[in-house]
Amino acid sequence: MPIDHKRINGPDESVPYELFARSAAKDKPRDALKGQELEVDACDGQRKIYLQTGVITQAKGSAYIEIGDTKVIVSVFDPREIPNRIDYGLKGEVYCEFKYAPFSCKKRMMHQQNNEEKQSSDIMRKALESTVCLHELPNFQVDVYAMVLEEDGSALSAAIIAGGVALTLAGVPMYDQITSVTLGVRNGALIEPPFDDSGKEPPSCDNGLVVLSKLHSQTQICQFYQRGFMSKENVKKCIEVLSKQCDNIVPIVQKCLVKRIVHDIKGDQ
Amino acid sequence: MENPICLPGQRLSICDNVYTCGQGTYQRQGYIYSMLAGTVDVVDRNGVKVIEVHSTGEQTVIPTQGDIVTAQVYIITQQFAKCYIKCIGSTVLRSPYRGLIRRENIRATEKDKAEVFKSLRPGDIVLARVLPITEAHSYQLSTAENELGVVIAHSEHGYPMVPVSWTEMQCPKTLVKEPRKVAKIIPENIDTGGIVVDS
Repeated sequence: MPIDHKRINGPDESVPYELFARSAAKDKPRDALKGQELEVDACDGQRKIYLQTGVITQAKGSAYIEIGDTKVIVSVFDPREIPNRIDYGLKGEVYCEFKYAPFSCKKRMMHQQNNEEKQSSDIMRKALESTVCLHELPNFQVDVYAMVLEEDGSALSAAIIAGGVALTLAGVPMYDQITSVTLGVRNGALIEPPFDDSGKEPPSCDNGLVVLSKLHSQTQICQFYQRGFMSKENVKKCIEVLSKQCDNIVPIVQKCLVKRIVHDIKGDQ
Repeated sequence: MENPICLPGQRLSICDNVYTCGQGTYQRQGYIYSMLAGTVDVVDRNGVKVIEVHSTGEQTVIPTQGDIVTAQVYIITQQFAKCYIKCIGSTVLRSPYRGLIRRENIRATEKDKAEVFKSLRPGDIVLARVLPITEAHSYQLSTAENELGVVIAHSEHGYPMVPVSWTEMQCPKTLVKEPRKVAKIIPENIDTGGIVVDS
C-alpha cells in the first residue's frame, strides 16, 4: 500500500508517552482485547453514558456518545440509490463505515480502513440491518458513518447505540430501538481442557470479548459476536448479563430521543 | 390535547376492526407499532380509526408508483427524455433521483405520433407520474394525463414562456411559439404578458 507523504503519520519509530507517565491509582489495567474488563460473575460496572444528538449539521441524523472515556460520533445521510447495481431490489441496504480516528488509540491508526475496522463495520451493519425497515427503502441504501474519537473499550457497542439514535433522527423507518453492550471476560472459571484436532491445548481459563445487541420492545437479540475462548456456561451467563445491561441503557436512549423530538416540535411552532 | 410522542418500536394500539395501521406504523402479532420517532395522529376514515406517526424532522421520502413528481429535463433523445426528480408531491428532495420519460409515455392519445423534441426540451420543469419500477437506476415517468406535462419552460432567448394551448408555449418578449406537451395548469406567479390563453 503506498504511503501518503503529505500526511503527518508521526515518526517511524516511537514509543507511547504513557510508558513514561506515572500510573494513576484510578487507572485500571486494560486487557489486550478492547472492551470492558468485567468478570462474568461481578459485572454491575456499566460505565456512565453521555448521549447527544444533532452534532453534525450536514448529516440528516447524527449522534455523539461517550461510554466512560470512549468517544464515538455517528452520522447518517439521506438514502441514495445503490451504486453499481444492475437488477432492481425490493429491499434496501445499510452501508456502515466504522473508523478509528488517527489519534484515537495509543498506537496511531492509518487513514485507510484496516481489517479490524472492516470487521467492526460488518458487525455494525448486521446489527443495524435488523432494526431498519429495509422493505420501505427499495433499491436504496442508507449510509452510516461511525468515527471513534477516543478508544477506551466498547467502541463498537457505542457506535451501534449511536447509530440507532442517528437513524431514528434521520427519519429512517425502524422496527425498534437498538442497544448494545460489550463485555470482556478474563480469568474465568477453569474448565476441563478438551484437545482439538490440531494437537494444541486450548487455554485453561476463559478469556474473551462478547458484544451483544438487542432490540428493546421485541426483546430480540439481533447481533452476537464473541472473540476468545469461553465455556458454554460462561457464554450463557454473559448473554444474561449483557441482556440486562442493554435494558438498562434503553431509558437513556429514549430520554435523549424524546428531548430531541420535543425540541423539534417547539422549533416548528 | 397535544399529540402524544412516540419512538420506533413503541406499541401504540391493538390492531382490530376499529384501529388499523397507517403511515409510519407497522403491524406485528396483532398490535400496531411505531416505525418513526414523532407524533401520533388518529385519523377517522369511513368509521375506521387509522393510526399514523408523523416524523418531526425531515422524513425519508422515496418515489413510489403513482406519486406525482416534479422533474427537470436535462437530456432528450428520439426515444426518451432523461430528467432529475426534484420534488415528490410537495416534499423537496435534498438530492435528486434520476427519471426517464419514454416517447410512448409522453401523451395519452396518438402515442406513436408523439415526438420527444416537440414535447420536452432540456431545462423544462415537468409534472409527471411515477410508473411501476422496472430498472435499477432510473424511475419510469409518464406525462400522459391532461394535468401532467411541462409547467415551466424558457425560450431560446431565456425568457419564461407562457402556455397558449396544450401543445404550444409562447415567449412573451419575442412572441415565438415553441411546441411542448403542456400541463393543464396556470401558475399564479407567472405573468401572461397580455397573451390570451386558450382554455
